[in-house]
Amino acid sequence: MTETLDLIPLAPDEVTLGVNEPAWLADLRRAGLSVYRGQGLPTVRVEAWKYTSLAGLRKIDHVRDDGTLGLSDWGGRGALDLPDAHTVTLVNGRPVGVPDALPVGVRVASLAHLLETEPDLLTPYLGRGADLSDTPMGALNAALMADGLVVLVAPGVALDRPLHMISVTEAPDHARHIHPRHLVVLGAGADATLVESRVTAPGAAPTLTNMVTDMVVGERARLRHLSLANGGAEAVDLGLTTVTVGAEAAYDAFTLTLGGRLVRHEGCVRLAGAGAETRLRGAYGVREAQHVDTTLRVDHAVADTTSDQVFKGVVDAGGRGVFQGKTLVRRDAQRSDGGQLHKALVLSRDAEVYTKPELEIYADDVKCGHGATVGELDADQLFYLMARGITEADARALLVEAFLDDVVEAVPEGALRDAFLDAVRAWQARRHAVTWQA
Amino acid sequence: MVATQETVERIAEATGRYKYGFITDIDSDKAPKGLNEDIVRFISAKKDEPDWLLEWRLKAYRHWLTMREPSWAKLGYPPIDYQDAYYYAAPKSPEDAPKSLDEVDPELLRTYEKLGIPLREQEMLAGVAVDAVFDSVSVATTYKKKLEDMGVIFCPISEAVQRYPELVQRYLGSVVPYSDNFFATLNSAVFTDGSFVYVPKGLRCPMELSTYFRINERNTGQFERTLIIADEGSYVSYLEGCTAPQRDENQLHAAVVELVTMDDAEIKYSTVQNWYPGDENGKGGIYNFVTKRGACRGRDSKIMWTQVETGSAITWKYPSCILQGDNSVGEFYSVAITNNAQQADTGTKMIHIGKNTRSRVISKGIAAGRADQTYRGLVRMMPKAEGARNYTQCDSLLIGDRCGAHTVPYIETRNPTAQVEHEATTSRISDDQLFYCLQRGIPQEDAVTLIVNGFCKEVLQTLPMEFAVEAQKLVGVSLEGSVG
Amino acid sequence: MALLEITDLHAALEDGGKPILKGVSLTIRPGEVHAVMGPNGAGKSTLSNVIAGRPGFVVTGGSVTYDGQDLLALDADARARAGVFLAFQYPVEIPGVATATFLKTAINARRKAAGEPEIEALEFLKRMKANAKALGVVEDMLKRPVNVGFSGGEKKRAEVLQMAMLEPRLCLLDETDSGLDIDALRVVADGVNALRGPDRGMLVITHYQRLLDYIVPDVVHVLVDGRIVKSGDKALALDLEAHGYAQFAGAAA
Repeated sequence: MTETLDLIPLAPDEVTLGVNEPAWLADLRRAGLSVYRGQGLPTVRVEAWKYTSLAGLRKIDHVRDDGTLGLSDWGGRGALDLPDAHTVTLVNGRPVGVPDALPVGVRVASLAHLLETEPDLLTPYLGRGADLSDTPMGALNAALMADGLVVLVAPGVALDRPLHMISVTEAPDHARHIHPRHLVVLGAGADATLVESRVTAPGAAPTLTNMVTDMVVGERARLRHLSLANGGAEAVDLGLTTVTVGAEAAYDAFTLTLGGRLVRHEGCVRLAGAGAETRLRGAYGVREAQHVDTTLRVDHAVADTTSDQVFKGVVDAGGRGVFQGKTLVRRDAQRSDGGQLHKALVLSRDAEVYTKPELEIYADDVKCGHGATVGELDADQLFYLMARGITEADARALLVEAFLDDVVEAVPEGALRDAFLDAVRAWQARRHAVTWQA
Repeated sequence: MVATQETVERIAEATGRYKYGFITDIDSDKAPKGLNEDIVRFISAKKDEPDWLLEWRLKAYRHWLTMREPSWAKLGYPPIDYQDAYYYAAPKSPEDAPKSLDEVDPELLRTYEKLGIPLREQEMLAGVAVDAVFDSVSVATTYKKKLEDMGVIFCPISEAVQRYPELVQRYLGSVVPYSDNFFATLNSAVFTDGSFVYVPKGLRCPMELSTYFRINERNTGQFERTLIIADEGSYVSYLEGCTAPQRDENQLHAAVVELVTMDDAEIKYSTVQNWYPGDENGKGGIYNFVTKRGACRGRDSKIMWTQVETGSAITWKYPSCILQGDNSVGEFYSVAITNNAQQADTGTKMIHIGKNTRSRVISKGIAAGRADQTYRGLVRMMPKAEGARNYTQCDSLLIGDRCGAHTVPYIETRNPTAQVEHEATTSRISDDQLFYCLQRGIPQEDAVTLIVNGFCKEVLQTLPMEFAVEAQKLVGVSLEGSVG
Repeated sequence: MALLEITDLHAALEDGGKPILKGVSLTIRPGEVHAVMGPNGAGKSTLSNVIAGRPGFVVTGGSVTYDGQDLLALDADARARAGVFLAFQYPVEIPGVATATFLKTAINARRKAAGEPEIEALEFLKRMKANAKALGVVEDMLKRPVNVGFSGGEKKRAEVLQMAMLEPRLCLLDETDSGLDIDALRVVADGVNALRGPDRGMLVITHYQRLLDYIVPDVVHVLVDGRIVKSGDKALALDLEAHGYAQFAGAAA
């Protein structure tokens, strides 16, 4: 039952997966399928995918994951080390058990389970985050989603410790395509920290993960969302995160991308209430046939909202980095404050960086701007370090680390930041090893 | 006017040629509405063009048939019916022109006054058929003679096709190929006239070609084609357009400008575009789809574009530089003002191919009324562009809360030693700035003009002196009514 | 006739903001220098801003008469052209507009309103250079955009230079001493003193008495919580220096 991703040989009623799926979900699936059939796998002729080609996916026969795989004997390599967090592991998008000892008012459950038992709980949120017609991959997810994690935090409740989702891709036999769907809802005044690690089990066949996460941050709530994409050398990791931020609420994200062959992280944040804020931070390191695409869209839908995007990338031989960031200030969204910065460090030949920072402004009383730089290591800094007796290789490594660490500082201090810094160190060590072998 | 008269004479000579069996009457002053191969042949025959040029036009036309009008720009306008337009009309005869300024639209005259255009130039611009025109013919002839003595070729491109066919053939379409884009391809098929400039080796052209241009350029039509070649070590400054609004009956404009610089050569190309923008509600107004591109072929060569875009209902324009020669330099300085219902999608492309190539982009966009404006720019560092540098600064100013200002830069780097820096800001005139000016006794509208001119200064100061002064006034005129 | 007559002036922040001036009255005759002192938040800057016509405030009562005419009926630029000059506490930057160009535009706006021809380029230059020299303003500063990259002291000097060039009849100095070291203060004060004359009135707003050692006022008013609680001669300023504003804490209530 292999399927080419161009022409999914499914009749509209075949996408209804659950036996007792509610009508709204069936409608959502059909709408998704219709959009995807209309647009197909996005090509570089589609503006939003100009710099990221999915053509390679066509060469691989993928089977749709049937949800039967369990966690293989796998040591957790590549995930963040957060022993104190509430931890939940997902295999190909399906939660394997849920954490206990959660505070009252916090619910963590499997999407499939909730759809079967309490679908009404999800009706107001699922599929409400993004316009499907803008996003063919999101539409495909809507059509084919089977499971994922649902996190519900009741109004006024604070999650005591970070919730760590470890998403593992298992594909021992055959290339798969999986469509995880996560939902995170924070009630008014709630507070939570969600951490994601995305890793691939050793020896997995090339697998496409087409993940969608919908997040709703209620009034005065605060959500910190930190993630590490650290997939295997063949992993294709596409993620769309839609976030709606209510009045006086804050959504702070940090994304670190180090692994995976083709990674696209697409974030759409809608600042929907006065006083809403978002800070989007991230760093990526790519080399050797890796392609990392960060595509952000911040929508200042109402007045008095604030956003700030800072992303940094290090691109080494054979790697390609893409940053597309858009700040939209709608008509009458006065006193919006939107900043955006992308800095890329190009370390060697055959490395490519594509940047498209975009402003779309329809209100005059705003402070919006963006900056972008692309270049190599600062020769003066390099010389300064070498003049102090540090070898060139060490000096370079030091400067690269400093470049990335600067943005990792956005992660709250303590165990969390240490875990991310460790991930950067590990990546550096691997990079080093490869460089010296070459 | 010499040029135009010569062109008219040539067309007269072309009468009676009937090479290709088409049915359009070659004696006609106007080709029938619509576009087909016969029209292309008609235009070519009217200009008595050599076969290679006709073939080139036909190739362009056939290619155009396979193309779709681009829709990626942030512009909204009703579909253009390309068959519902005239592609050739002979220059107007003097009988149709107004006899004196008394017959000219007083609104136009008021604008001339505000811009401080001298009376005689007002007559020129308004197309008045009076003796003054003959005066200027002699002035133009004097300039032309002087330039010719130095070896500078400066003439209508239709004339260059006749007199310097080998130069035209070598360079026409060498920077903007006939298949380049929908509008450029259309232009290649049907261009009527435009300017041709060749500056010989080692010559610094001592005068702004504007001086001559301003009193000579008329009726270049809607499909203008300009080709400028600066040979090794030469320099030329060329000014296109005029601060004064010009009469024009064609709504669709699709011009092509090609620049070529050889080793150590420099071209400075300045544009002041003030075509009719349409009325307050966006009715009427020129649709301006322009392809301008320069190739820095030689090492250490330089191309500098400066544009002040205040007119047209729709502007689609990206003057670009292909930096092929090592150490070559491309610069783009732009002020674009959109007011009322105007829309502009404009910017530049800097393609760095050679080593140590440098580019600089300064764009100042001002949107007022219900206007929308987009800066769209591409900086591309090719793999061999060792040590290349780009600096881009795009600032947008919004006046009022019904307009839009957008920035869409594309930055593509494929060389580790290349450095790209891009900055953009969006702001408005602050209440504090406005009050500060008012408190010094400066009336509100003047204060806005002053502040906006300050905002644009970095660009305006790259214009030739005399135009910089006019352009500053133009900023004020363009923003009239934008502040309540 | 009084140059400036403020009668029972009430003013508040726009959009239903809180009242700031709660009945201010004072009269400045030609040739007089009045100082307004008061603690932070008393409404000193508001007073100068309301006289100059800054948007953001509404006058809720009282009147301001300047040279016999209703000043509040005029727009801000018309007030300026009528001879009211405000030296700003925080002069704003105007990128790209050269200080000299700005000054010339302001002078010509005034002349145009008065039906006079534009100032001769040479005369303008001569006057500007003379004034700049007197105030220790380097010529390079005049070419730089208005207030852009000026230090605190340079900004205040530039304000006084503008004042000298525009020849106002009523000068409002809003905390002109703030951010100045003693040498700069002396230069600025000398510049102001040079402009004192029988036809010109000044309203000097300051938090500290120090400025008044250099610009000696004819009358000192103490403004507390939007009201003038005491007026007197220059000795009042010294008294305030010695005893502070606390003595008036209850007086305004």
